[in-house]
Amino acid sequence: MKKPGWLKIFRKAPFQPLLDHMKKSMEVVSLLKPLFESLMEGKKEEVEKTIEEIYKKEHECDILKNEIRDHLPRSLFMPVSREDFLRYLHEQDGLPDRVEDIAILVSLKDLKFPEELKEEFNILLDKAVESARLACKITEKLDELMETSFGDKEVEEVHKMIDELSVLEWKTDKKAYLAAKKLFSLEDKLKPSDLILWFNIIHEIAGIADHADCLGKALRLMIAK
Amino acid sequence: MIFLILVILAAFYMAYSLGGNDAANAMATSVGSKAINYKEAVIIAAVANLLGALLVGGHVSLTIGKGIVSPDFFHLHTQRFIIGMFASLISAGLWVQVATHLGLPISTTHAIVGAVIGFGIFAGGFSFVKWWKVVKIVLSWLTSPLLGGLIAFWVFRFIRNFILESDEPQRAAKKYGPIFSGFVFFIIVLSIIYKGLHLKMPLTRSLMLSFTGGFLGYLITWAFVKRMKKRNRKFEEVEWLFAILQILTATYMGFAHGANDVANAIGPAAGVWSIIKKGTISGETIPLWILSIGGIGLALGTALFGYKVIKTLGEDVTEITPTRGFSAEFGAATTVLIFSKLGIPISTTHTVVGAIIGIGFARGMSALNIAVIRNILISWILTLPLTGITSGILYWMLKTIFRV
Repeated sequence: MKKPGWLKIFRKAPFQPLLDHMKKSMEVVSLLKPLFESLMEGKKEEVEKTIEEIYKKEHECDILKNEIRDHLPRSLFMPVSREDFLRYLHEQDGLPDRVEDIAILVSLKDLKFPEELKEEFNILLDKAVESARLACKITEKLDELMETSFGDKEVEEVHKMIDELSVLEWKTDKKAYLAAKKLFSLEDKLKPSDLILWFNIIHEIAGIADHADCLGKALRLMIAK
Repeated sequence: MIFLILVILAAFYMAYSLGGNDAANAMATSVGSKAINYKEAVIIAAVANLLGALLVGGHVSLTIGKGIVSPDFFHLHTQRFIIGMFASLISAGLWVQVATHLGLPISTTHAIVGAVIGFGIFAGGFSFVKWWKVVKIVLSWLTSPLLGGLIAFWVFRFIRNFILESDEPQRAAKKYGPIFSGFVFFIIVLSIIYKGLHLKMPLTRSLMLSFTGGFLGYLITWAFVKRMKKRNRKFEEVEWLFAILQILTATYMGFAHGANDVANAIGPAAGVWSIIKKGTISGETIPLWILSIGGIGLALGTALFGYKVIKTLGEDVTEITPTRGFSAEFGAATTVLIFSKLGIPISTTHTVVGAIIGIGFARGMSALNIAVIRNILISWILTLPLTGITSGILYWMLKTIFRV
């Protein structure tokens, strides 16, 4: 039994897959803490294992992302513009991408965690992960936005979350500055190669919050009337 | 007499295949939103179709039976008229089946109107078709999806602004739900008594009766809603309530469908009946037993064949929630009933599509494939000539065989 032709008007909505992608991305982001904890404690095998896992899950994110893109023909009629949606997906995919970059930096050489950096670094990492978590909450909120067809109340709520995300991004940048400053105060003790790597890692971690913030901005465009 | 039996058999066949395909469409959004399962949908569709056909179905039938072709010629050649109607039914039924197999969005209404026009042209030339009537019908095919979309758009906007966006969506749903329900009852009762049953009742009294019916519907739903349990997720309860209301609109849709689409099968048969019985095709009413044959055919087709279609629908249309389904069915059914009242045959399917797109414009649908609109437009353009030529050729063949 073929289904009646007009029923082809219903397409699978891309919003659930978007949420799936976000959840997978969060799995990748949440591997950062264990990664640096193992590094701190000098457990080389653990570090390698975690890096492998990050690679694997980041790849799964890419697959999900491509599937979403493949199912967005131009003829799709959505409540949001296709371009805004794709930008949102792009920023969301930036989260696991950044984590992968960090994992690569850690794997380049036998990296030591400078004891003195610990405090500032952990504060930075927590802030970055927090902003990614907030971004995840925003993607979950899309469901309610859809349900009320972008009603004013839900939009206002999401706007608040987006503003919060901006503040978090700013805070993360400040923590990154403090961590970098601390790092350079240790310049005499560290090898130049370690200095370069750690500086880049700090930069990349701050980048996670950047992507979360951009995701919020993409959503702002998406729900603008 | 043998011709009458043949034509009625053909009409029954047409009603049967129509019930299998079109009636299922009316249920699509309800099954898709999981408001009802497919077995319930089949029963509701069959009963509502039967009632709609019997109570309101007569008007459109008259248009198809004798409104499209000029009666002057056929007063002299009654047998040709009978053969023509037979040919129209067969060719329309044929194309509907072929299109269903190919998965094309064809409309049974377009098929039968095209077939009757085709036969008219072959039988008496272009001047024997009442073109102004054809123009009116074709225009209504454009206006009906628009009207369906507009009503669905505003119903959904209302639900959004007053229920989903309110401080307490559950309470708002309980408050406005019964009002919607009362409105549906009002329209159904009004359409049954005002013209439907051929009662010569003054408008004021029929309005009063309709208000009573609406109020009763309001009370019943209100009592039902009051016993509703609390649920956890924010909008779950609202959607659940609309799932109940949607059963009502699904019935409403089935009713409207029966009222409008029974004509596709029964119209030609009614024309033949009146010319055989009275020797003329000028009667204003269609006997109940002919409508019954159409209604039973519809119901039977839905019951025996429709479950397959409905089952597929339930698996495919999962993206539509009860609030959306309710809005779409409300918009489509109201439009179909309005046009049935005016005696203009429209496509139920295309009106539903129009209503769904209307909700899309209210940012209510998460993803619609707009390329389908192109297919529908193509089917609009293709259906008329295809069924017209088929029925014309069939008419010519039958005419040669029977030498009339």
